[in-house]
Amino acid sequence: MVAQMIPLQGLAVPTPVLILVLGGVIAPFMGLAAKRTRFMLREFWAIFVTALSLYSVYQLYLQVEASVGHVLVVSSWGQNPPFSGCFEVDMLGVFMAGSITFLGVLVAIYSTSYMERETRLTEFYTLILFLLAGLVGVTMAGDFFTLFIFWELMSISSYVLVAFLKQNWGPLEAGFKYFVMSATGSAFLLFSMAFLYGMVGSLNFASFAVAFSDMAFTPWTVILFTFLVVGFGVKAAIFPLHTWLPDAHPEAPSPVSALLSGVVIETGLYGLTRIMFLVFDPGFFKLPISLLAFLTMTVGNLTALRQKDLKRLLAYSSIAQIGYMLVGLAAGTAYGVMGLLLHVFNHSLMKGVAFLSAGSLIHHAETRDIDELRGIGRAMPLTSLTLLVAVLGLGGIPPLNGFMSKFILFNSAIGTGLIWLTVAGVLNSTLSMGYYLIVIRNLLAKPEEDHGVHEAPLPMLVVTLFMAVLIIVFGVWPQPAIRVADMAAAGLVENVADYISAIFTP
Amino acid sequence: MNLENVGYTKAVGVLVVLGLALSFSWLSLQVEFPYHEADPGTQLVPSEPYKEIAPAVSRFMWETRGQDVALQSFVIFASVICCLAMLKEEVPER
Amino acid sequence: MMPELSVVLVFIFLQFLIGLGCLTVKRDMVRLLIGIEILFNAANLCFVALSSYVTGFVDPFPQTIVMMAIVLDGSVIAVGLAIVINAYKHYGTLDIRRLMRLKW
Repeated sequence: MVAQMIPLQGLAVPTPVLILVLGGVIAPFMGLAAKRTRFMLREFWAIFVTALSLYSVYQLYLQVEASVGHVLVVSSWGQNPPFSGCFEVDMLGVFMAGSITFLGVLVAIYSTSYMERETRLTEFYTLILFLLAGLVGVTMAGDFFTLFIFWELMSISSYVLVAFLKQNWGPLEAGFKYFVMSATGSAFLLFSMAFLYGMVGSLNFASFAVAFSDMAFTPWTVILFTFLVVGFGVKAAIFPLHTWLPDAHPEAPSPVSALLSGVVIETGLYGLTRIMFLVFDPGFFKLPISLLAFLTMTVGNLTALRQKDLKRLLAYSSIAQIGYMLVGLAAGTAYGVMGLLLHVFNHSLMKGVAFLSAGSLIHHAETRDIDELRGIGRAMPLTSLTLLVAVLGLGGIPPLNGFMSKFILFNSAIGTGLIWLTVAGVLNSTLSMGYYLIVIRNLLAKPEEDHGVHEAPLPMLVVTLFMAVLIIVFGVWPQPAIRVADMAAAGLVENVADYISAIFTP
Repeated sequence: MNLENVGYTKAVGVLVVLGLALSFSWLSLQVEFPYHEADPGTQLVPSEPYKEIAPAVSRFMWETRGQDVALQSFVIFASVICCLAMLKEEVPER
Repeated sequence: MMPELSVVLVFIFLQFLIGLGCLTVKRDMVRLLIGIEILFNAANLCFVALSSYVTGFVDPFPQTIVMMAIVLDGSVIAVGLAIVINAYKHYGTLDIRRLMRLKW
């Protein structure tokens, strides 16, 4: 189900992108209809579209696995790829798209009851669908400018979703700061695209791989590297460029925070990984990326220790987890990238459920302060249990899935000689349990007055329990995720020849 | 940054920008940009009949980048919805 | 005659640095948006400059990229202005140094 032959003469884009984009276009009409009929049409349309896109990503996965070299090239109107925009779907794209649409379905179900009392719900669900469309499009793009178009689609949806609750000053301030930093990052990205065009002659990823396989090292490649790291690093929250994240994630509505922390920053990291392995040699970027990984981890963990706001603490913990993922990129081997991808999937589950259950707690208690949330475990036992499981997983406790991906990441760093980075990573992981335990202690403490059990509404509860069960299941049985991540990493790092030949031979 | 030492931040910012400008100018004039070798046969447009560059470029755009032009229309639609979301009045729905 | 590629790149980078300088130094929110526009403009100019350095020919590829990048960049700035309008309603001023209520 890759190409959808609509009678527009050969329009072919990968089906998940098409479904999400058309769903986003039709959603305002659903909103108009919902105003007349008083049915929950908007929510059901969002859940239906995201579930359909998850199913189509699964079909695409089966199709990619069955095809030659595990790469599919999709481009419309009979245009020939090296100069035209195209989508090149390989295992890596399918893996990331699977994470994105999976979290998207769960967030859509969750926000039916979280955003119930808000206004402008039509625009909210439309923008969630466009955000997911942009994310899936970025992961499946085969040409740098197609990636940039979907990158901007994702970015503008996320600016407005962060600033969505505009009746308070917090979201607007956070939204404006996020906007300025992220738009600057996009400008850096466009500038690096200009340099890449100058050096290569077209903007296709396969052309980059062919042209850079024997390019001499000039100071211009260092400049190109800097611009690319800044361009992708603003979105991926790498050390000096992470300052928008602790403001934007707490102020956004909780389902949007879960999407931002769970998939948007990982998509920035995906872009960085893809370009690094296609353009540069792993020995070239090992040292700068390992330095950035160390700084990101340490700054994230140390600043999180001082936080009093629950969602801000989780936002700083996201920065630290991006630092761990950068360790896998610094290793430069397929094993390291496999750890990175597995941690992307696990982190989207764990941080997603952390933000969603924190959102349930905050929705009930009307406060984000950790000290005031003391004893809420007695009032909302099941939701606190899911937050407990998520936080233990983030710290890397063995039967949960965070342990396996962190183990692979740090193991890969040892394998390429970055032993100091592994030591720093393990120390940081231990340090992170320090602030996670503060959260757990406040959840399990005895409250001053006992109000009885007042659990969260049913959609929120079901989603968070389901994700917590998945965290435990993937912790005990990580094989399916490891297998797909392994194929994805091998496709990126080792089988670049398959990627190139999929575009250049026919 | 507090309100008192904004002047320092401005001075540091201006110095960093000047330093980057000087170093980049030196670099760009010393080392030549590794330009790719273009092939004049395939898709380059001859610059001689000056009035015909524009129709040739737009024909190139529709033929080889038509997919991106179509996808851009969705970005414009999304930005319209974004502005609606930001500028609508808060009317409670239920 | 056309100047050398290196000289044109120096000026383009100078415009890029002017855009970055505008972002660090200015304190009015709308001026920050103009700084972002200058950055995007420098990137587009870089594409155009790199399109005309084969003698006698013009490469149409980067020009099509510029046409599309202008559209994307304009929609980003439109969304930014919508956010600035709402921020003005809350803070009463366009001074970004007043937007420092979110600290540690």
